[in-house]
Amino acid sequence: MMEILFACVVIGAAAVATFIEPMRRAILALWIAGLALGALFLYQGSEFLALLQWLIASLLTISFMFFVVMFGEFDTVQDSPPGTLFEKLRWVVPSILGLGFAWLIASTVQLIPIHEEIRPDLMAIGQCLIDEYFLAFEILGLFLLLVLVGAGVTARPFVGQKDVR
Amino acid sequence: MMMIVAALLGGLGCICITLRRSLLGVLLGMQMLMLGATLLFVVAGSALGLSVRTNVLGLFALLGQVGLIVAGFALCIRLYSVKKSIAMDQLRSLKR
Repeated sequence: MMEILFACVVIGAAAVATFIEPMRRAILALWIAGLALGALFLYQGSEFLALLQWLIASLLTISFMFFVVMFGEFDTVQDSPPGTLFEKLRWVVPSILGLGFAWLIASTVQLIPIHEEIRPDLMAIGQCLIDEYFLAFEILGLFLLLVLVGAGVTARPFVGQKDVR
Repeated sequence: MMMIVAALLGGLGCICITLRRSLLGVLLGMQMLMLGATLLFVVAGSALGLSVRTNVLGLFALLGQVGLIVAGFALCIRLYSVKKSIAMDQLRSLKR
């Protein structure tokens, strides 16, 4: 029962985050979706991922809020004039795309056979990570380092531009 | 049922990516898409009896999502520095 409730919260909050206009409310809705998703992970027996999800969702919400307040929300975006074909199709094409994507995933995952559930513990996850996915783990670490360095390079000041002191 | 939730979450992420007109909105949609993917890993792992492996893959997906968002934020700073706006319509070049 609680699982269904949390699933409804996830979908409802994600729908609000998708369709609501003010970005700050959209981010808060996405935070709620992330927290409810963590609860769903908990119900699936993935305590480790649930904790990580709650942590990451909260940190990303804070970062998003910071960026939106800094320059996102008050940015003016030029809308197409009302009545044009583009404006009429603005909601239709993304909705068809999204529903088609959801249908594709839902119809594919129904093919997965159901097996007896095994609840993973933290030790088993760590052992699996070290034994089977160590190279992938190293590559992921390298990827995150590259992202960090690349983000610094991308956001650097221009030549001749004054840096913040 | 959880797989339907994952599929709907991914679909809503797709809609958000195509509907929003600012770079931060697109990042929001990408985050939703990655959340759907992570849920799919977890649920499929439970169904297949491979929970440990799919938890590890879910961990990779979550950390990949963090990397994606960080790169997106850096792109936002660059775009705003160049164009004084983060509207996606203006994302043609990151040079002055």
